[in-house]
Amino acid sequence: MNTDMNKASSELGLLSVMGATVRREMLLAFRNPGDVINPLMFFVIAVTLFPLSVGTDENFLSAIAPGVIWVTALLAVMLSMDSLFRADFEDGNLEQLLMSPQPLYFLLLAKIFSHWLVACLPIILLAPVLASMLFMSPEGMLPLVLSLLLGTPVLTLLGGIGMALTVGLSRSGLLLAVLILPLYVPVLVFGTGVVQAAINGTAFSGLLALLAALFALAVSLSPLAISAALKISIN
Amino acid sequence: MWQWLYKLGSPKWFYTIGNRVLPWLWGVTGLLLVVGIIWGLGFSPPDYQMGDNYRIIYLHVPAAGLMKGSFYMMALCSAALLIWKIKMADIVAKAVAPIGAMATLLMLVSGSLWGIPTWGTWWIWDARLTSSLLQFFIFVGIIALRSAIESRDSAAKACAVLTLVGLVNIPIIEYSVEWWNTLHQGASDLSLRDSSANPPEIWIPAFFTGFGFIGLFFIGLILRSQNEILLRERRSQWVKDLLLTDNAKADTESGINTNA
Amino acid sequence: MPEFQFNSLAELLNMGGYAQYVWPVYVFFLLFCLFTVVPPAYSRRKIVKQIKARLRREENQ
Repeated sequence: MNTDMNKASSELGLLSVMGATVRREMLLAFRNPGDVINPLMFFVIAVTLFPLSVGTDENFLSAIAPGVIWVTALLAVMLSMDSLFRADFEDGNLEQLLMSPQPLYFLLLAKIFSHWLVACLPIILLAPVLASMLFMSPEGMLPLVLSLLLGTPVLTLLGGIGMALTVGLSRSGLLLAVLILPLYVPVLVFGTGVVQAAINGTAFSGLLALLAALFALAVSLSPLAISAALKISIN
Repeated sequence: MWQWLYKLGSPKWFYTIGNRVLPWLWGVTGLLLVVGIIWGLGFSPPDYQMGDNYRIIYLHVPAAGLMKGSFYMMALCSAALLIWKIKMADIVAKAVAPIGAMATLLMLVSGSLWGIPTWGTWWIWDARLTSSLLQFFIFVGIIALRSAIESRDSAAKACAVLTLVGLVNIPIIEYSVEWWNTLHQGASDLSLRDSSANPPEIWIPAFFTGFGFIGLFFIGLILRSQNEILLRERRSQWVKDLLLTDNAKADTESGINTNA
Repeated sequence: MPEFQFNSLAELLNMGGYAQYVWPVYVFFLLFCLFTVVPPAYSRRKIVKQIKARLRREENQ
């Protein structure tokens, strides 16, 4: 009977299972819009704090704009990680996920992709608006969006590792930050590097390629670490 | 070889061998450090460029080595724990973490004190100082994760996963910091430019302190691991036997005597 | 054979003018040594005492 079930579910096909996972996550986000709105609002509010604290000098703001946008987006992604596994851990869905006959690797990828759609994509779409509010020069806009498009999935995947390690703990917010912020450094460095290079008028395609390499590495390796960490946390 | 590895995985064996090795280690380490430091401070010729300030190198470079070595050792132990489920590997990984963190701190302090006369400021966003700072954060993260998880088994495995994730990430972090540093300011690290201008004798004390640091590392490793072994095995017969005999008492309390 | 580079103790302490940088590093190294050795030795004493107390309690029962 068990083998029958395995057969039946494998006949479902990997893609359709991944699609179903994404649909489920989308539905959940739709019913609980806080998962979409809160990271976005954090991003907007935190960026607003900068002119209020460092002044409104146009030159200075435009000089720090790429860094401010990238750091704030990074923090927003990190703070959004809590909704990746927390609810599923509390209602037992995570255990179901681990026991599913489908390869965990792809289920996790689907889950992380949906989280990225929900939490990161709105931030990326709003980033140019906030960047121009900080007087960032227009040559940087497209590179900013491109670097965020390549960088935020890496942040989500690495954050997923940290989240999977700490999901069993009742209060994990600050611990998560301590664990994963050092790992975020390369993405931040190359992400802001892309924007700076574009603003300075130098070539940035090489840096985008480096970000793409980080992306490929993160997609291929972090689901393994996440599944190992989840199995440890569920025990 | 496998027999030896298997034995090393036994806490009892590790404990007793540790006690046998420690007195030798104390002697050799003390000798190496004393000779290296006196030689380095007093007998090495001054650097043709940096004068006597370069004498910091005899602690700075070994500290940097210990920082790297500690992390590789933790990564090795983490792999051993996750693949072969060797409990001893986790005990060692736990013991190494604070030593590595402190070595990183020593590297940072010596580097920034060295920087004051060289750069005119105690902190500079130099590639090596910055990646050491990040390495320090990673050590702290691993220690924090272990102390946050109550179940010992889960904590061990979670730390092992995090250590291996760190192992993959550290070269990337270092590469990115290197790139970032050359972007924002020309390479200005502490590396000994033109060290060939100095006579090779200048490096002799570094050998002594270097091996002294390794000895110190293993002393700390053995002492901390033995503590953890006693805690974990406190209900086992051999610990009872060990603590109930008087000879063993002196042995365990000082960690120096060998008359066990 | 290497020879002593300083003419007097005061000169050694002065470190060619770099005393305030060289010596703190060596002091910090001393702290590092103490950190490596003292806390584990201290907790060893505590652990052994605890286990012994427990063993004695069990014997008395």
